[in-house]
Amino acid sequence: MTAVALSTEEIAFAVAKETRLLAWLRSQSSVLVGFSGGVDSAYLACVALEALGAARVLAVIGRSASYPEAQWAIARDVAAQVGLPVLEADTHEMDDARYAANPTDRCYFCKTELWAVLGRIARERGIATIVDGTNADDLGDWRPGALAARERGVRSPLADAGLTKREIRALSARRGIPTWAQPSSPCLSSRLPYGTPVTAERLAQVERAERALRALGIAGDLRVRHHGEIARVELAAGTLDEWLAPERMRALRDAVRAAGFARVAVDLRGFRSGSLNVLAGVSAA
Amino acid sequence: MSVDRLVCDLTDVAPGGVVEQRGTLAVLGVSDTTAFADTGHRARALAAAAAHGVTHLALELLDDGDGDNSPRLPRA
Repeated sequence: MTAVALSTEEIAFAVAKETRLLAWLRSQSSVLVGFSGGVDSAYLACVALEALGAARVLAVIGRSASYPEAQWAIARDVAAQVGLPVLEADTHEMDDARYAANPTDRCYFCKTELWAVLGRIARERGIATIVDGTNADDLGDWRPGALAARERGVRSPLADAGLTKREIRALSARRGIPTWAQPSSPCLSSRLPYGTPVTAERLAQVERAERALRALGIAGDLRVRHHGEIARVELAAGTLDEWLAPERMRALRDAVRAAGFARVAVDLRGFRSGSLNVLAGVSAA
Repeated sequence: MSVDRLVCDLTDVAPGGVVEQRGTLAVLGVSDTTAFADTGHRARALAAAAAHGVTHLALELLDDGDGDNSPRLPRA
């Protein structure tokens, strides 16, 4: 991704929102940030760090089989680069049969577990407020996990400030936060069509395939959707001309097959956030 | 979705192709994929598929160089 092109007026608007975010964070005694190392939570953690200082901010990474190893490494690197206090905690959503069955509200069960674990950490450490990186764009998506956050009293200050993904990328770039250009990377379970049971084996298969494709040089949006023996690869639409050329296509196919898929197909429309929601016919709550 | 009718409507952009249906996902197998490196060609294929209620059209990357480039997908 190249520079986020916001007009001068748009930047001023985004900075005003950031000022409101800073003010809200400063009104908190301490915050625990649900931290994935993604664009949103990294930005939120950095702004919280500025508002409250390292002694009153704790970023917590929830780790499980659905959390990509590569993302975990990014999260740790980002925390180290910006001086963010970080803690890692194992979550066990895979042990919940309601989650593993992969219903359309799967994310609710995952987030219920995540916020329960992070809530315990916050209580043990006397941290008053738990925040997540939900942004204003997310409010229009199908996000059953948001209900779990509300039930646990988790606040979403980026969304409350009206900050969109585009604005968060631009503000992150201004602050030198290394995640500003990072593609979105939701949990690996989002690669499995609803109703396909979530297993550690399937998640590992998807993770291997995506890692192999990254190694080929795919840097932008990428998802390997798991349709049984078929891997349906979604690439940024603007890169399809390149990756459907014969030589590249062969390399792509062989890389995904080596990851454990018998058949490989490329989605001709390209990457779509929430692609499997479309396939399942679910829409925003 | 009628797979036979979809295959028929895809003839111009995917001659000799076969389609495997999985809900509103269609997996297209075709022996010569070179034209799909073109944006306009993909757009025509997507438009033809969308007319049949297909929400996701995926091009299968079949084996090559083994003397058999023909699509092997089962018809749904």
